[in-house]
Amino acid sequence: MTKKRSLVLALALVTACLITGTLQAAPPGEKEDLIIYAYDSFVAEWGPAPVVIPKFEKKYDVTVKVVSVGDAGQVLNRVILEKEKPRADIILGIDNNMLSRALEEEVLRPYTSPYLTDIPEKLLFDDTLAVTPFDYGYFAFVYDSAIIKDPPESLEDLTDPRFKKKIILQDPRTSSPGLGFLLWTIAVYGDTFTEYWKRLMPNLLTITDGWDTAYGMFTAGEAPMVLSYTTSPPYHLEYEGTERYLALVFHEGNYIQIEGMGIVKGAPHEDMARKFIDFILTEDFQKEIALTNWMYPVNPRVSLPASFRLAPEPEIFLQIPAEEIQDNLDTWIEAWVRVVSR
Amino acid sequence: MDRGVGTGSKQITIRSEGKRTVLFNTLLLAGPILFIILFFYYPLGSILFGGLTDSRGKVDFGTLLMLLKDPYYLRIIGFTVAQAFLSTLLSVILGIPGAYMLSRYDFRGKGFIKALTTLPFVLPSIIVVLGFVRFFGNNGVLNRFLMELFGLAEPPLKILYSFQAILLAHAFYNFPVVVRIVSSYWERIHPGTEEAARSLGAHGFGLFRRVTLPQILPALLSSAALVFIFCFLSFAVILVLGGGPRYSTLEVEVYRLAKVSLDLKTGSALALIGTFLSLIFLYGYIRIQHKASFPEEMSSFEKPRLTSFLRSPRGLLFLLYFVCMAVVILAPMITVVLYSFQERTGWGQHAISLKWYKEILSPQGPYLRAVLNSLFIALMTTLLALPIGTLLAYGGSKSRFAGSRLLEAVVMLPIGVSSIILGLGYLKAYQHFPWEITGTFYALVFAHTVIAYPFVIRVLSAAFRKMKPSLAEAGRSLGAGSWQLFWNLELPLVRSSLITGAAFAFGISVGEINATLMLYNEDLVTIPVMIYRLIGSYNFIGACAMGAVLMLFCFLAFLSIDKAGGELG
Repeated sequence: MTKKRSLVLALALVTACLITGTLQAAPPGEKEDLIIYAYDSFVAEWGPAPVVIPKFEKKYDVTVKVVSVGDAGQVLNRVILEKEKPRADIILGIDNNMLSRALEEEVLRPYTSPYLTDIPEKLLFDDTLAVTPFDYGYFAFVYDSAIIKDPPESLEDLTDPRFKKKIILQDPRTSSPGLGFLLWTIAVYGDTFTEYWKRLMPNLLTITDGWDTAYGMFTAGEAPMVLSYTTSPPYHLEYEGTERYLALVFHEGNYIQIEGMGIVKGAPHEDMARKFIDFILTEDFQKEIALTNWMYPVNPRVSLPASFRLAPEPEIFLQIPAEEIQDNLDTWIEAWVRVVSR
Repeated sequence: MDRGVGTGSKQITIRSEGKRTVLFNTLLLAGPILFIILFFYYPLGSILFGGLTDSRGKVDFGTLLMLLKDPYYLRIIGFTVAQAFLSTLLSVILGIPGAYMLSRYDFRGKGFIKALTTLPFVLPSIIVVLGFVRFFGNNGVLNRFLMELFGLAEPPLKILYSFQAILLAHAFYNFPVVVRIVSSYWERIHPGTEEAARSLGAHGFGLFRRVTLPQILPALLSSAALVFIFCFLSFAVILVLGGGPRYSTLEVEVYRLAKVSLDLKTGSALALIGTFLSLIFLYGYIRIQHKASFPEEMSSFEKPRLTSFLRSPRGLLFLLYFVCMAVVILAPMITVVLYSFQERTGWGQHAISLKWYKEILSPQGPYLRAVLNSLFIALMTTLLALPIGTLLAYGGSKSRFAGSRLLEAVVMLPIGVSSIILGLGYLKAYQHFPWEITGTFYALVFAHTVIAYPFVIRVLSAAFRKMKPSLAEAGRSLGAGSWQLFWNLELPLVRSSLITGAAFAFGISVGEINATLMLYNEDLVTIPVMIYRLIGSYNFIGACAMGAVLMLFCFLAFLSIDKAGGELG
């Protein structure tokens, strides 16, 4: 009977697959000399990991396992969830807006790398040195110069009626550039930031859940201006040879994002983790950051690729202290939602 | 006679349960229930418990009560329910004529259309949103065409960034679900009753309301419940196409608390509220469905050719309907596919190119690996979710004890739980497990199975309920045991629903992203993860090409599921 045969076939298939699965699923942490939890785009084919990790492995003759754990928020979540029985040695991707949460959970072991002296003071965003910075960038509005001839020069300019329905933003509740922009407006306008948002609302086409959707809509020509990074135009120049998309620095300044990594408290391979933190500050690691992570390296001695001439450097950079964010974020977001949902 | 024909045979159901049948059912259900407890309730519980305890581990309802008193959250909950209700209504109304065509007529390319209806389901929301923007948007195909045609300076159609856009996109995702589920059920119902009613003078809407509707109501409710819960949990579509946070849902907040604010306590408490609401909806719907079901003769039968029907005036209306539906379903998908054949040549110039397809098909590249991973995991998920869902649906249709409705809702619950919460639950719960599961192929298959099996249940329980108990009694009187009855009689009768269930399980697994992103490792990159990576590195054309490949492979898989199912009988 065909029916019986197909049942036997299906069962055989399931068994075969389960066995292959078991063989495949060797438990991590036994062969490796270092385990890093990183966000997905760091690990991706075009990300920094495929370039920098082999260098480190060769230098110390070790095996490194980089585990991709979704986005930066999820990386920290995972380490918090595993607090009692840590698996990772290094947590990668804690930025200045997430820092206080990481410190509050006490999942990190501070470490002072001898190479820190190479790093500019303004980028050392964690006084406790639990998190060591490895790259940074500025949030910025990117616009299509074929459509917008007189771009805005300040946050206030963005509210001008000539940009009616021409801006795509991201939701601060679900995206890190979105959160960065909300903090940016708070850094500039203080308590009156909701007034600013009221003026800005008519010019927004939509607010997306993440950077990817917003930027996709922007390149599809749905709106000529989008919230992104100052380093977006270099990408278009490097790979598409176009200077059509440009980033804006504002009179009030641009909000900065600094990304760092830290050693997990109770890390199984703490010595190797220290060596890795030293390594990320050396030129071997730093010179790969620009073209793989599309951020600035923290080591100023590293020269930037030619396409980075399209990334404007803001004269003023803005930042709200981590503790202040931690204390007020919920209030700010609620106030923001009240304004935008009107 | 408002309930329609066939209500008379309802009482017989209760008598047909012997002790042996009960034992048989219990044995059948033991495996699936163990699976649910281990791979759904255990991880879910370990996360939700966090929302109910304070930092010292004591039970504390403070967070929960605070949320329930907060007007901000109450308004969000209200909107979430309202938009889900309207979207469901629209999807059901749009779905019925399609289901009618597929179940009552035979035509060339029917298998093709059936496979097509499951496609929207597998697409990650980011691809759907980009497809919509590229077709319906201000700079989309439709508006540019009209501007060209009438020489307009401004885009004439403002479809997106409004409440209507949310409904349109939800209809895109969900009315195919209605078509698929209702038609696989409807085609087993003999048209004799309708013909009899027609010969007695019933016609048009009256005939539909009094005879046809009561017959298909269980399947209609099944699909409506799925659609409702889907819209209840939807968020990227609502946020982007609705034009921003004006239209914000519960899921956005859970997402934010769990992923951005990293406030697992409040996130869990809110997820608990959402889960509880889902449970109530499911329970309510299961009760209605039980009331609406009545057993009937089920068989396959010859269907008339569609061409003869289409020549009648009513047929023209249906043709028009199909054209409109094709625009809603196909246009956004075709736009994605067409875009994928482009290559940027600088200065916003595009050229037609096969560049991306060459890369995807290159055996050394990471893309083919992702395609194979996705297909393999989806196949495993289907093979696991199909028996689990089928057995649970079968058991559910047979049990009549007090509280069995609630138990059904409890079994259905995974459908109402956000996959972010599920993923977090897996991470938290299995770190103390004797063997490593996160980051292995098991975690992905189990999580996907948990997300998919409720769909299998919904598709099949309507069909099992429709079966006349007299059939089983006849079989038993001829000496057939419980297993024989189940395997040789009842299962073959619900074949078309089994196929539909398998197609959904496969599609859900292939398209899943949120839980996958938390649980996979480098060797297990799937197509949606690859799409996410491509977009994250500014590569929209590549992402669309990957989306097109996803659609193609699913389409082929659905066709073969259909074909394999057809030969099984």
